[in-house]
Amino acid sequence: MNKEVRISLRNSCKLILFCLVLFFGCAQRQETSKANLSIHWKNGQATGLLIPLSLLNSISRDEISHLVKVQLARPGIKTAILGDYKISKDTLIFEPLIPFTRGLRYEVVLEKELLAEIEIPKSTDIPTLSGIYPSQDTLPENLLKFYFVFSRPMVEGHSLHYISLLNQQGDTLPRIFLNLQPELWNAEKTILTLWLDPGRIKRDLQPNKLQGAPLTQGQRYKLVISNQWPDELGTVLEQSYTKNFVVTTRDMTSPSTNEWQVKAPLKGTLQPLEVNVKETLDYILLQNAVQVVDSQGQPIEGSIQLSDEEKKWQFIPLKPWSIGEYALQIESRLEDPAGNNLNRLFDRDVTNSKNTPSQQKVFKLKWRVN
Amino acid sequence: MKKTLLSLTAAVSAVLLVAYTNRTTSVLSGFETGTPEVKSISALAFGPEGVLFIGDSKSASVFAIDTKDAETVATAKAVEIKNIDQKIAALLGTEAKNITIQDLVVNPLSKKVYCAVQSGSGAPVLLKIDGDNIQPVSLKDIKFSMVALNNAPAEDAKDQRGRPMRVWAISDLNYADGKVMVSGLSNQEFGSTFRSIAFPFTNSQNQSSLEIYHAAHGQYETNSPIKTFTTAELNGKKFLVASYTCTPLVLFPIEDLKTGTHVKGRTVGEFGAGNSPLVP
Repeated sequence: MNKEVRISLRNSCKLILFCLVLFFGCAQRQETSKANLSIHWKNGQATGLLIPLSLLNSISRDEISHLVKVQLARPGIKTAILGDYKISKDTLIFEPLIPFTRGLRYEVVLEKELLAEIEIPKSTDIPTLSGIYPSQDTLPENLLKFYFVFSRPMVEGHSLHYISLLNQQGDTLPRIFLNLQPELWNAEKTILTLWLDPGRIKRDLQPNKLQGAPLTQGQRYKLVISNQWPDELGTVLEQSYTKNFVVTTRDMTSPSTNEWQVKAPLKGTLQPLEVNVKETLDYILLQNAVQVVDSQGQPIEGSIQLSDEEKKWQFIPLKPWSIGEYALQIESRLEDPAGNNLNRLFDRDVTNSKNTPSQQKVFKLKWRVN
Repeated sequence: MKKTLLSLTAAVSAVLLVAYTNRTTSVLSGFETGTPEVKSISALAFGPEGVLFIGDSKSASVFAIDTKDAETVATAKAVEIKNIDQKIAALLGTEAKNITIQDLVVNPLSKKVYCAVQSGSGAPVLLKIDGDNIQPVSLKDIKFSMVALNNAPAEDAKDQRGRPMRVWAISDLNYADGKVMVSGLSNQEFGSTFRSIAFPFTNSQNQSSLEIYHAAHGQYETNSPIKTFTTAELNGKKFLVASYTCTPLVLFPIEDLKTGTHVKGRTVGEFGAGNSPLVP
């Protein structure tokens, strides 16, 4: 027994020595390999891998694109990544069909021999969620949508993996949101529009009859946004986010511009034009479907600010106000959070003639600077 | 000799006539060669002669590309690819969570499958699936034609105040009887736009935009967006069969779809709760 141990110890020493040699050998080689590969960047994305031809000494240039492949460095089945190979002076450039994913490791292989390995560094710019709208904490039972506003372009297509709605018992509620592909993002991929399931909101449809509306009057809810949601470069959100709210009665009234209160600014100033729209209206449409025009109908340049839970609309002009007539021009597509617009209800009862939709496209509110 | 000459002239004329007819009737005749700037692939549909339509929400355009894959194959082979998202992700050098398969269509001539993939980084990819073999379809130096969708972003673009722009996400795209039909969803208001565009595309914008309503049990009416649609012929009449974001299946007579009209459809069925058609 002791003998066996002695033998085994002696062998172990040899094994350790062998491992040390192997380790330093590998470490040196890995460093060399890393030093040899470099990444081509474009707008923060790794769009190419530069491989020195010196790594591929043994093969002719004609054979390179057939024999060399770039693949994900991970266990399991290896698949050559689709892309173009081209030679520029003493470098082989591989341009993948889509940019490399930051945070993943890739390897360059010549037939079955591993030549080099490289990790695409993660981005250091961490995305945040800067707002959830409607910002109110009391929302109607027939709420139609949320907007999520991010600081950076986010990854598209998997939003519902990262958003959940919890009831007051802390249970996650299923099938609350409509799973749409393509998802509704703005062009910059920083604002997501997410609809609650319209089939459950609209009266008399099967989902509504069987499951009821997504939200129930009198209940409290918690909207949770996971910190695992990545931006387009693969960097996840800085933290998780929550929004607590309570649900009140169905909103069955179209917004009415007749009730809006306009506080005119003073002439020669850059004072904001202040409009009290009397109820929470759609965060994006308030910025997109309302504009200030002069007496000739020409748009006035300036910027819009929203406050007081999207009930206060302010317009700050680029140039000081002149004396004269102005108007607020409001497109009929302006909605409240339940999807009722200036012309029609989200879900109108056609047997009730009072609900007949108007066909007016633009509403005007005149006001003056004195 | 005279007879031979006459026969020869007739034969040459016939060949020229056939060639001329073929040339003028091919939908590819007005295509240009180049690299279309496809910014996103939201929906795909095949047209005649192997033409693939690409609905691009980001550039608010529909591209028609010549796939050169127009050889007729009588029967389609069964295709079964397990874990296709993981296989495509590996081919693209990423993980499945970073890609979305936007649409799948079968070329009615070659029976090959075409697949649109959107990556997290925003780059769109078009793939062709032939059995187990998945290959990219290059959009470089190809024959193509395009039409920009006449829609709201053009109006919004006039705005100088940096307000959020409206995006019409193309929810579905189909081709029938010389027309490309496109349904769109807004990222702002809850509204539906449906366009019918004559193909081959012309310089003049020959497209109609409609607002489409449907009612539940004849009582509650919604101007709801169409999620996906197809066309069908019932009792000799052509219909648009549309599936809505709120689940009903609705029929519209195609002859009623005229520019600027508000069309009301007849609800003919409903999907149960939690169900949604991918392609009707």
